[in-house]
Amino acid sequence: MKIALLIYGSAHNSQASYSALRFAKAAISSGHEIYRVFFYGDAVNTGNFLSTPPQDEFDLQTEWARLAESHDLDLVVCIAAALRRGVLDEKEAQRFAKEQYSLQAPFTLSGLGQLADASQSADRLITFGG
Amino acid sequence: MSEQKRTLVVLTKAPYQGQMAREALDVILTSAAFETPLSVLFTGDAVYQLLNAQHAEAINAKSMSASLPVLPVYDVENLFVDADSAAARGLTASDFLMPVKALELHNVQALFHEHDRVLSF
Repeated sequence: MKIALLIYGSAHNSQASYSALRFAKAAISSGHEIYRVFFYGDAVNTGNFLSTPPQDEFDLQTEWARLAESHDLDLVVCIAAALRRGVLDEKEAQRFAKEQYSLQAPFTLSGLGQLADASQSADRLITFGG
Repeated sequence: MSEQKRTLVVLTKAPYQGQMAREALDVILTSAAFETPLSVLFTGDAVYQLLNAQHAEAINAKSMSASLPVLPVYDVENLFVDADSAAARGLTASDFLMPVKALELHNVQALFHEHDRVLSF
């Protein structure tokens, strides 16, 4: 089954992105395909690689990146929601004359059309809210 | 593409409680642009999004009252409000900035069943 995930619960103030990560791992190990993971609202901070948790704590951003690289996942961060929250890739940082950026592969910035497509193309769309 | 999946967007947040109301509206407009068959349900504090007297500029926010009336322009015409949520907040159709269909609880349940996708914000 093709499954798309929509996550909009806060990366640091909700369980959403943690639950979604575990769901994605379980789905993959059960033989399902993750069509796309779409990060929206406060979940865009999940992709912020400047987030630096203490070494003995779970590193959400790195764990998503690791899962994406080992299973070729499409991790899409909504560009409008991300810019508003200071989550920019190198290209957007240049465009807005910012000296720093906070998002890199395997996370990519794209528009809400990616969510509309995922909703139509996947067999299931699972939402992880706040 | 195979038959389009019918999508119900359920709005639950007050209009200026964080970014969610506006970001949910962006999802609605984008889905409409992709010609997704859409319905929208205002429930809980989201019924306040429909108020016709919003002075968002007083709290340095962009008013929802300028944005919501464009929905029919994007062919989003299936607009519903949960009657219990409105009544619990003392609101009636005359308080709303645009026509929406009021649904009793059993009709709200039916609405969920009529759609292939439910996006709740």
